[in-house]
Amino acid sequence: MNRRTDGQTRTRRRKHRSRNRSYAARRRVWRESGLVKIGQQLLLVLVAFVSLAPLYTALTTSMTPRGELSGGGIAPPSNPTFDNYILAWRDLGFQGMFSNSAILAVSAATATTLLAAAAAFALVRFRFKGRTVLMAAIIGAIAVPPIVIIIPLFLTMSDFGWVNTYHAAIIAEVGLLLPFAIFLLYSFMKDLPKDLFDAAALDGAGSIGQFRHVALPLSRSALVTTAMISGIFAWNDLLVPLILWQEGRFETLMMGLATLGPGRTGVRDVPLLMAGVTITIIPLVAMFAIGRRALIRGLTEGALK
Amino acid sequence: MSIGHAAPATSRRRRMGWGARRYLPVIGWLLPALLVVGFVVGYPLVQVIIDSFTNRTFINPGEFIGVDNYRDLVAGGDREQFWLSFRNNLVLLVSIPVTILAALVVASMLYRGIRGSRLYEVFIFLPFLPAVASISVIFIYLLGWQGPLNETLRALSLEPLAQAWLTDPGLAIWSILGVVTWKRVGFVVLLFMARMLSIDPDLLDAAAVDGATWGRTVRHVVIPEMKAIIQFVVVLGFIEVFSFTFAYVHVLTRGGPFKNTYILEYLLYNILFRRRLVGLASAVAVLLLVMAVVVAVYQVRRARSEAAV
Repeated sequence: MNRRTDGQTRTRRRKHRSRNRSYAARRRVWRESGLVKIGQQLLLVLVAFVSLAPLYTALTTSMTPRGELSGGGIAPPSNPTFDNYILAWRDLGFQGMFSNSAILAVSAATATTLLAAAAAFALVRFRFKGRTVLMAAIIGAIAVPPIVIIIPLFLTMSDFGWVNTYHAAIIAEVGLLLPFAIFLLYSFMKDLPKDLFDAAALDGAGSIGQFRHVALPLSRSALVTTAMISGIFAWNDLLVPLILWQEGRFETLMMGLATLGPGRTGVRDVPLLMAGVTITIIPLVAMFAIGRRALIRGLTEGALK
Repeated sequence: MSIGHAAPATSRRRRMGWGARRYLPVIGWLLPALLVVGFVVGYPLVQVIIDSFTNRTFINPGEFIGVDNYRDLVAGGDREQFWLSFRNNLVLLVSIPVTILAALVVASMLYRGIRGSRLYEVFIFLPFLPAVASISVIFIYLLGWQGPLNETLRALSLEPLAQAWLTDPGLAIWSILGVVTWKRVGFVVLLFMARMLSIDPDLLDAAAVDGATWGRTVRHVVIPEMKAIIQFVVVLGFIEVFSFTFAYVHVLTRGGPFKNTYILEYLLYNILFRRRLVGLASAVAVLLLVMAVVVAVYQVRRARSEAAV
């Protein structure tokens, strides 16, 4: 990060500062009656409540002792317990599902980020015939819905005997995530100062050297963003593992929820189920808390281009 | 379009004349990614179009039957389920204007820096984070007959408003619409905020100096600046409603009650894994693809024409 002496960091910092300033400025310019202000606060509180209430209910329900759940249980339980988490983790199979989801998310994120970095580097550093067409194809591939390609993909993988192997769903996720990841990293790398690459080339670095010593270190923040977004999408995906990991031993959290969710709606099991749901959300919230900026930058990048 | 780190024009010609050897490093860097994308997206894309004109099944490689699959969907034996699914997709499209309106209101209030903006921003974004499957399970419980929503209504003596949200044939798809909208608003607020923060503050100051109220400023200064992003959100909404809503239906209702909440994706899934008709399922896939291509092409052309202005 410190090595980045180009305009990138400075611009970002400046943008950030002006963002703070303009917040304050805007507040000063448009003064209005207290009534309007209160109305707006109320509206926002309402929106925030609607946004949070379902998640909050899941959390409180998951800590309610089994059998003590009354239908309208929105109030926090009087004697919160973690027993449901232990039960869901051990006896409802969430431990195994968690590890399958983690395997899928971590391998997909790692492979996607590495392959996308290499491809973005090539697109930035080399000029070759068909480059524009290739860029257009990659951007077009972002819009291809997974449901469209899943049938032939399933049939091909069946032919190869890959259905119900670890790499089946991982490869599928990587293929679906790569176009967006390449786009994200390309739009970052193309703004890296060309001089640094040229200097490395003068020092005798080949393309591998330039990749390792210039492109990768300078793109660290973009790489983190790409890995985070890829990981979250793979973690949250239902369709791909549902179709390519059909055996029980490959069940992911999302598949587990899809099976247990509609089936176990008896009031007694709801706290267990909500504990399971919360288990699927905790890693995401942790990641959001750590890398909120990087995540939001990645999510808005495509829209603002 | 930026030129990246391309060689200057003078050396261009020399480079264009490369032999195959000069291509080697490029191929080396690109090949792994292209192989995977080709295998997962490229080849299936071609195959699904071919399969849609055959009566292929899991066992039988099938033979060419022309547009019979499409005819079957649109006007043949499967037309009822097909049009019902299509209609349900159209119902879900309602989430686009609702989301945009809600997000505009919220974003323009947050944008001006109301007290607690940052916190609201986070709260409103949170529903976007969990998986569709996770939040769907929560909503099965929330919207159940004895669930918190109905119990709350009853506690408020609003018993008549208590509904079988997910099991009433007429109502279920509208409940799904509610869940889809709930999940997406935060993301759209995020996009709108990002765009609003890049609006030149001088424009706003000028409006303020002219004595415009905040409401007028939003309408006449901010929203015109947001035209492009709003159109993008509409396109994104179309693609999501037609091609990324499978998990909602699969978890919330399994297409029920009585197949009343089928959407095209779910129809495809059902034809493929219950009836095992690869050709017919491929035809549904191709129709979804056409939908995505049409809106994506529209988006690209609009972006081009705007860039040209």
